[in-house]
Amino acid sequence: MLHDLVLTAPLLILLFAALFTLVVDAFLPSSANRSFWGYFGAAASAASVLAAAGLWKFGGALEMHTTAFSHQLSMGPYSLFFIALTGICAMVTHLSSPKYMSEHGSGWGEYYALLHFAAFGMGAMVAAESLLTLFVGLEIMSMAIYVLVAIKRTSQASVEAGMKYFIMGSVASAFLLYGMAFLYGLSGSTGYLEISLALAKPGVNTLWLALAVLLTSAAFLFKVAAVPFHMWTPDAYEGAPTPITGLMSSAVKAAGFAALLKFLYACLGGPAMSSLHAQVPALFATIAVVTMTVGNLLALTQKSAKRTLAYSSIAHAGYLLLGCVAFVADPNLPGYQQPTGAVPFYLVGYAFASLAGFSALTVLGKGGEERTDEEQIIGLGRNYPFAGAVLALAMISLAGVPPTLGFFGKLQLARDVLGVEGGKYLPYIIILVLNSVVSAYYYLRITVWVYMRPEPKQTPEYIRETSLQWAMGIAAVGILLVGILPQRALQLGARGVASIRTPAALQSLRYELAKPGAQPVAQPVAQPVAQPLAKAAEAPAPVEAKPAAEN
Amino acid sequence: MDWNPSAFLPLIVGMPLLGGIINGLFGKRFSRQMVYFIANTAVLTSFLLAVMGFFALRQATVANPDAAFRTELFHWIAAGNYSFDMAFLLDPLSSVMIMVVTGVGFLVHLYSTTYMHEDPGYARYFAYLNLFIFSMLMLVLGKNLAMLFIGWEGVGACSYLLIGFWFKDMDKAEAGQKAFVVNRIGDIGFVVAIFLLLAYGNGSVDYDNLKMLFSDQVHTLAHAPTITLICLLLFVGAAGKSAQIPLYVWLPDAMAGPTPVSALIHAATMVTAGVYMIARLNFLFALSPHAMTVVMMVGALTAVMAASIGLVQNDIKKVLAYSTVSQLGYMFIAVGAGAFAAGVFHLFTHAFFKACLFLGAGAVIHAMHHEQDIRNMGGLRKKLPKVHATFLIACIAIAGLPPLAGFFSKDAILAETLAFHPETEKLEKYFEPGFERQAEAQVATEALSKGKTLGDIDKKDIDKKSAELKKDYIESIHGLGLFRKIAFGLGLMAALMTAFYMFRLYFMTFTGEYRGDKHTWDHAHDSPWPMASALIILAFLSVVGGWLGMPFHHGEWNKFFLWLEPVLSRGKELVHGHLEPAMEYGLMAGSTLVAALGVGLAWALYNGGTSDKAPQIAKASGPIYGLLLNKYWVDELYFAAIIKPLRAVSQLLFQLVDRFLVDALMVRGPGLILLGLSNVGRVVQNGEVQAYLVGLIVGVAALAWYFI
Repeated sequence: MLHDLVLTAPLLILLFAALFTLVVDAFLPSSANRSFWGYFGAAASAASVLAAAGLWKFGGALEMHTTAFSHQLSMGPYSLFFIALTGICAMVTHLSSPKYMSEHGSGWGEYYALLHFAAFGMGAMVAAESLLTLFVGLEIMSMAIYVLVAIKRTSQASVEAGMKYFIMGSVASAFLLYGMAFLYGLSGSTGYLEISLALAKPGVNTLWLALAVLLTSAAFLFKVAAVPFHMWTPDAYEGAPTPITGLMSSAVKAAGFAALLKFLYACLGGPAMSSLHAQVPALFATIAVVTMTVGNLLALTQKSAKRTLAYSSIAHAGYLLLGCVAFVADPNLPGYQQPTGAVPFYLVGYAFASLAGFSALTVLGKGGEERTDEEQIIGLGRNYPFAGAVLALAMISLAGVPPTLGFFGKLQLARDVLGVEGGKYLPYIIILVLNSVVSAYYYLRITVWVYMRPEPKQTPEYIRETSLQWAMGIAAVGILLVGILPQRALQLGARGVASIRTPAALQSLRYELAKPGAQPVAQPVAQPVAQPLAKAAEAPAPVEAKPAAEN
Repeated sequence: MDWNPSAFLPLIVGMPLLGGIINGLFGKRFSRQMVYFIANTAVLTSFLLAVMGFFALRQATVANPDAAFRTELFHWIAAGNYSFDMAFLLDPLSSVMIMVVTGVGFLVHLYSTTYMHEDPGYARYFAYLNLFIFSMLMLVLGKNLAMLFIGWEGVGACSYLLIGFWFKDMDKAEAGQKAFVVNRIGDIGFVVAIFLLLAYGNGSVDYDNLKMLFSDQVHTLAHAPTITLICLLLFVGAAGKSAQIPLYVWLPDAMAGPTPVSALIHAATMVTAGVYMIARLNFLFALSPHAMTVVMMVGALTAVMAASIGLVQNDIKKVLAYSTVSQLGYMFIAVGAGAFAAGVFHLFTHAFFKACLFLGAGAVIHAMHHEQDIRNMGGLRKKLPKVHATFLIACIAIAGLPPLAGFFSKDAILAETLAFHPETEKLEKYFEPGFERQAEAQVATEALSKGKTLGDIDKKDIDKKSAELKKDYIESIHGLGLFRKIAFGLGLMAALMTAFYMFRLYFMTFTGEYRGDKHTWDHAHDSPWPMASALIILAFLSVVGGWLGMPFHHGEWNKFFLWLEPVLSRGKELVHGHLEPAMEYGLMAGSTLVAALGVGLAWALYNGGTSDKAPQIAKASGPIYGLLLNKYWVDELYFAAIIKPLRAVSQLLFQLVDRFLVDALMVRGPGLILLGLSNVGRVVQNGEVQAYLVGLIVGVAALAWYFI
C-alpha cells in the first residue's frame, strides 16, 4: 500500500491540493483576496512535477514496480513524462489566472480546485492501465474542464461555450464507453495487458474489433479536436477564460494524445490489431491531413487572435495525428521503424508555445472584457514589450521557424512517419509542410499586429501582474530552452515511448510470477494471461528488446 | 615557470567577449567610469595573460624549438568526415600577434576613454571595441582556418559597426556599408579556398594537419596549378581584408569612423589579417612561386599607387589611410617574396608607428574641434608639444630612417625581396607525381582522339611528356626572377614617396604659422594624460621595436626572426637566399639615403607650412596632379563599371521576378484561393450545437463506412 502511495505521489499531491483548496476556501470571508490560491496552486503543481521527476530519477534505484493499485495505474517513464508536462501546464495556468479571474468576477477558490482536479484527471488517464481507470480519469478531467469553461457565470459566451462542450463531450463519452464495452466483450477484461493478450489470439471477430476501435478512436479524436469532431473547439476556446483556453490547448491536448497513444499502442498495438493493420494507419493519416488542412484554412479568415489559435490547435492536432501513424503501423511489415519520442516532444513544444501565446493574450482581459482582435493587440509590442515579445515568440514557434521548438518538433514527426512502411506516407508529409506554410500567414499576422501597425491614440489597459509575468516567462523560457537544446527532451520522450511498448504490467507480472508461491495478481483473468505470458517470456518480441537495453 | 598556459588560452579570447557582452547589454545603465573600467580591464587582462603565455612559450621553446600550446575547447561541427573544432593554438607567430592585438588594443581603449568622452554612444562604442578585440583574437589564436574565418567575419562586422558608428550621418553609414560589401567580395575567394583545402585535407583545416599534409618531400596528390589556384583564392580574401588592389577602395572611406578605431582596426590589427593569414599558411604559399609572385606584385603596385595618392591628399586621416594601404602593400611584397618573417616584422613595427600616427592625428583633430584639413593647420608644435614629439618620432619611424623601427623592417623586406629565390629542385620533386599524372592524362586524351586504344600508349611517351611539363614549369619559375627586381624597384619608390608625404604632413601640421580660424587656435590644448600616455608608449615602441630584428647577417641578434623560425621553417625551406654582407650594408645605406631624400624634399617644399613652390609644381605636373588628387578615378570607375550595371540588373529582377512572378502569381493567387476556401468553411461553423452534433455523427458514420 505504501508503495502504491509513493508511486502515485504526483497524482495524490494534486488531489490533496484540490481538496485542501475547496475546504479552506469555504472558510474564507467572501471579501478576502484569493490571488494567493494561484501561487498555492502553482506550488502544488510544481511539487507534483518534482515528485514525478524524482520518481523518474530514483524509481529504478528503489526497485519499485511501476504499477500501482492492482495494475490500475502505471507510473513508468511514459506516465511520468506526461504527468510532468501537464503539471507544468497547470502551473503556468495557475500563475496566469488570479488577476484575470478576479477581473472577470470568478476568482473563487473552486476555480483553483477545479484546475487541480483537471490536472489529476489528466494524470490518471495517462497513467491508466485499464479501460475503467482511463474512463474515470478522462471524466474527472472533462467534468472539471466543462465547469472551468463555463465559470464566467455572467458571460453569455462562456456559459454557452461550456454548455456546448458539455453536450458534445457527453456524446463522445458515450461513444467511448460503448467502444470499451465491445473491447470487454471481446477480451473479457478491462486491463490493457489482458486485452492485448486476448486480442492477439487468433479468431477474434474483426467486425466487433473494428467497431470497438472506431468508437474509442472517435471519442479520443473528439478530445484532441480532430476533424470532423472538432466543431466544439472554436466556440469552447473562445468562450472559455483565456488561461483555461491555454490549459485546454496545452495540457488537455497533451493528455488526450498521451492517453490515445498509450491506448492504441499498449492495448491495441502489435498483433492485437490483427487484420485492422491495413486500415488503421491510413485512416489516421487521412484524418490527420484533413484535420490540419481544415484547421489552417479556417484559421486564415479569423479576426480574433483567440479564435485563430483555436483553429491553430485543430491544425496542430492534425500534425500530431500524423505522428500517431507511427504508433499504429504494423510492426511485422518490412521497413518498420519504432516510433521515437517525436509525438511527446511535439506535445512539449506545442504546449509551451500555446501556453506562451494564451498567457500573453490573458494580458488583454482587463476589466472583464474579452476581446483579442487586431485593435487590442496593436501596440502591445510597445506598450507592454514583455507580453508582446512572448506573444511574438509563441507565434514564431507555432509557425515552426527553425531556432524554436516548433521546427524541431515537425522535423522529428516527419522523420518518424517517414520510417513507416518505407516512406509510404511521404505525400502526407508534403501536405504537412504545405500546411505549415499556410499557417505561417496567420501566425505572422498576429506578430505584425504586435509590432508593425501604427498605434491607436489611446493606450489600451492591460492586466499587469507579477504572477502572470512569471507564467509568460516560464512558457517563453521553455520554448527557447527546449528549442535550443532539443536533444534532452527528445531523449526523455523516446524513453517514455519505449517504456509503453512493453506494458508496465507485463514487467510487473513477470516479477510477481518469478517469486515462488506468488499468485498472479490479475486474478479475474489469470487464465487467459498465463499462457501467452510464458511465451512472451521465452521469446520477447523484437520491439521489446530495446527498452531493456536502454535501461 | 613550470605551468601550462593552454588552460587560459580561452580566457584570453573570452575576456573581451565578456566585456563586450556586459557593456553591450547593460552599458546604458552604467556610468561612463564603469563602462571603461569593464572594457579596459577585459583587454588589459587579456594582454597580461598574453604576455604570460609568451614567457611560458619562450621557456618551452628552449627545450623544444617546435613547442606550442594547444587547447581544444569543444567539437564545433562534425558532419560526415568534416570536423571543425573550437581550438586554440599558441605558437611563436600567434603569441606575437596576440600581444600586438591586446597591447595596441589596450592603448587604444585607454586613449578612447578620453577621446570619446562626450559621445552619447559611449557604452556602445566600448562594447564594439571589445567585441572587435575578441574577434581579432579568435582570428589569430584559432587553431584552424574555420576559427580564423569566424574571427575574420567577426572583425569585418565590428569594423562595419565602428566605421558607421555615427550612423545618423548618411555618408558614414555608407562608408561602413562599402567596407562591408568590398570585404564580402574578398570573402568569396577565401571561402572557396577553405573548401578546396577541406577537400585536400580530408575534412580538416587544422593548421597542424595542413602543415603535415604539405610538408612532405614528395606529394602524391598535389598538382601545381591547384595549389596556385588555392593560394590565389586565399589572396583574394587577403586583398579584401588588407585593402590591396583592386579591393583597397574601402579603407580610405573607412576613416569615417572614430579616429581611435582607425588606429586600432584600420591600421594596426584588422587590416594586417591578410598578411597574418599568408604567413600562417607559408607552407602552402611557398609551394606556388606563381601565386607568390602575384602576391608580391600586387603588393608592390599597391604600395606605389597608394603612396602616390598620399602625396597630394589634404585630409590628415586620408593621408594616413593611403599610407596604411601602401605599408600593407609592403607587407605583401614581403610575404610574396618569401620573406615571411620580414613581413610579420613589418606588421609588428607598423602597428606601433601607425597607431601612434593615427592617435596623434586624433589628438590634433580633437584639439582642432574636428578640423581635418591640414591646409587649415600649421604651427601646432607650440600648442601640442606632446603630440608633436610623438608624431615626429612616428614619422621618422615610418619614413625608414635608422635607428627607428621602420628602418629595420623595411630594409629587411627590400633586402630579402632581392636575395630570395624559390628552391626549384625541391618543388620539382614535390610535384613529380602530379606531373606524371598530368602527362598520363594528356597522352591518353591525345591517343584517344587519334582513335587508338589505351593499350597502345607507350610508357616512354608519358615520361617524355612529363619531363616536358616539368621543364616548362621550371622555366616559368625562373622567368619569375625578373619580377623580384621590379618589386624591389617599386618598393624603393614607395619608400621615397612615404618619406615625402609623411613629412609633408608633419611640416604642414606642426610647423610654420597657423592658418585656421583664431577661435579654434585659442581653444586648442594638449592631450590629457590617457591620450598622451598611449601616444608616448607607442612612440617609445616605434623607436625600440625595430631593434628586435637587427639585420646583421641574419645572425643571432635578429631575435624576432629566430623566434618565428619554427612556424616559418617550411616556407624558408622552399624559398630562401643569401646576401653578402657588403651588399646588405649597401642596401641599408641605399634605403637610408632614399628616405633622407624624401624627407629632404618635403623639407624643401613644405618647411614652415606651405610655400609657393608646391602649387607651382602641382600646376606644372598638370593632369598627373589631378589624377592623383582624384585617386586615379578608381571609385568612379567602379561605380560606372560595376555598381550601375548591377543596380540595373537587380531592378529588373525586382520588377520581373519579385513583383510579378513571386508577389502577384505565386503569393497573391494561392492566397486568395485559400481565403475563399476558408470563407466556405466558416459557413459550416455556424455556432449551433445541433449542427455540431450532426457533424459528430456523420464523422462516426464515415469511419464506420471506411472500416466495415
